[in-house]
Amino acid sequence: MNNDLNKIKAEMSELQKELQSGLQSMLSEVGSKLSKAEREAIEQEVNEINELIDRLKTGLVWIALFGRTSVGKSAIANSLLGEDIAKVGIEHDFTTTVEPYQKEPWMIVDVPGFMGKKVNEKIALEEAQKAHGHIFVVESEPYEDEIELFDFVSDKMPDAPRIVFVNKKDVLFQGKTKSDREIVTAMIKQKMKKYVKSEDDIVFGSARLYDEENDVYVRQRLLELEDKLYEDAGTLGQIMNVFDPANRASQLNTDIKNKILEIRRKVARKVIHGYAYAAIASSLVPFDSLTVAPGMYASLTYAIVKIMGGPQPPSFNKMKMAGDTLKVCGQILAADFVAVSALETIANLFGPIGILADVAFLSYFKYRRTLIFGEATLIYIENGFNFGESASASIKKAKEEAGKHYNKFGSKRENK
Amino acid sequence: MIPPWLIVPIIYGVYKLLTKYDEASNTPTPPVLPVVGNRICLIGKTGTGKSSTANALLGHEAFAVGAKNGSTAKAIEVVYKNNFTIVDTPGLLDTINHENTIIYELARSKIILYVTSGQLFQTELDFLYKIRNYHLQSNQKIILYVNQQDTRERTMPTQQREIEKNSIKNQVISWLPEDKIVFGSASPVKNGALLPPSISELNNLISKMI
Repeated sequence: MNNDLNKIKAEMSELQKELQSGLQSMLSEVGSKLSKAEREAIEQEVNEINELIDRLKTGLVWIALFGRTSVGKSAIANSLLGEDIAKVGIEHDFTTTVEPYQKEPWMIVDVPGFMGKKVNEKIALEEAQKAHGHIFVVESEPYEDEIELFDFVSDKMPDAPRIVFVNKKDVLFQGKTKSDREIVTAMIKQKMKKYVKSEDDIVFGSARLYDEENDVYVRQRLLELEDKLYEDAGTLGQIMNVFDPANRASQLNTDIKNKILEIRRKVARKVIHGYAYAAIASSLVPFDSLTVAPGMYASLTYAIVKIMGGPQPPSFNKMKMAGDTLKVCGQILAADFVAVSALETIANLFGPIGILADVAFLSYFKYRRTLIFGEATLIYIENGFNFGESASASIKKAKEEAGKHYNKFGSKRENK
Repeated sequence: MIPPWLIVPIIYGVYKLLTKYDEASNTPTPPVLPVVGNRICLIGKTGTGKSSTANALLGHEAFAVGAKNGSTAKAIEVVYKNNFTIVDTPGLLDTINHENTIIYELARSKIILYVTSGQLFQTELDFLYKIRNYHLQSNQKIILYVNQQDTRERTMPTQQREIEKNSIKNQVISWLPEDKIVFGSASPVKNGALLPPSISELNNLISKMI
């Protein structure tokens, strides 16, 4: 296991270097042509990809706990970690610091509630984006300001895997009749169900219980919550398997395998989008020469191959593969690929004036071209390094997928 | 001079400026300036047991209580003793915002009984701080009542309970004297059976004030 993990870490580091140098050399090459905002946009993409890979490299499941301070997030962290790592105390809602707690396979991040503070809103969003999944913690029916926090996070990241944990079940149910318990349970579910895919993802429990005899709190294992975290597709637990498939994949069911594939694709698409962004700004290389020396596309191909994992054919060569893919794309999607080359030729002929006149239109095609290329590469890899019998169908599918997964694909205006 | 049609907008502008200034200095302006009367107004966030507390003070069930948060939808006034009435208000921080009703009711009450079940949220502290100056000027009195101590006793170690009590006191230490903070259980339950309320501390404090 450790060996595998080290191998994965090494591969990911290599990938990071490749991405960094690929995108950086492009920036230095064309940097003078870019506006400050464009430069920053590209740098931000690179940083986000880097951070994503950094997180995957840890091999840990990143979980962000959201909720007000007093709901017992630290106690929950301790229960999940099985150790009193997080300091549990009675605190006020004034804290603005994020507390990460790490113990394999968990990385649990205690995110402060924002209580009307813009600073905390920004922190909450950053942590939400970094995490593989979120746990929204409440101890009763949620109050207005808790709802505000949960709405904010779920609006920004509607697709993140999410569990609602209702902590201090013992306090909530203390002394209540069965029917009152049912009412309380129903009310909480009613208010919290909009944050999760199904009501089953709302879990009740107590991270610690009062031991009357000794007059102390006793840390509890949150088995139901742990089960949820590890459960099949739709929850977070499998993520730890993403870069460690050899060890565990054989025991996993199809759902989980698909889930892992989905996560790999997600990362790959993030990288493709980063390259597409950079492609907008890249220097004007005619399409024909791209197929001969597909520098940037080769680095993208390499990145996608690494991210998708799995065995590579012995003949794998990133330059050749990128060149071939580009050629096939060009043959089949002339409108997207060759048109850009014609425009590029015109732009080159007319020099700066041509560039000025067509740069927006050209950028749009370059952006699209990179996205389609990336998607085509994904299909090629998933087919076992092959476009199969109908390359044409595969490339058309790549174009469709590009339209589906990148929301700016169809709009010319935003790509400037 | 000033054209007549400009008068209304100008007045509105001046009014806006003034209210803005008021907000900045944390002095709330109640919607109507009501006369402060012999009322005990219960406020606090939703689900802390305001209605149960009112019932416990009265000694009979005058206000409807429920397991759900927000069972009280509007302010209700019931006769108490010594010419005083008790006003129960909808909860703060509810999904439905009742703030205007609450501000109106507390502005016309001589005694404000703020009910909580634990530490005050930042939003509650802000709200209390907002109404504090107004009360000082109008000779109103504020009591902070910490309810649901029975639940605390059954689910929290003594040490933690003490820490919590102190931390609640510390939250309001700068403006509320310690003798105006009382603890109790308005509707203690055990195994689903209702026990008699233990709010003698609160009863004594109110008796001294009315």
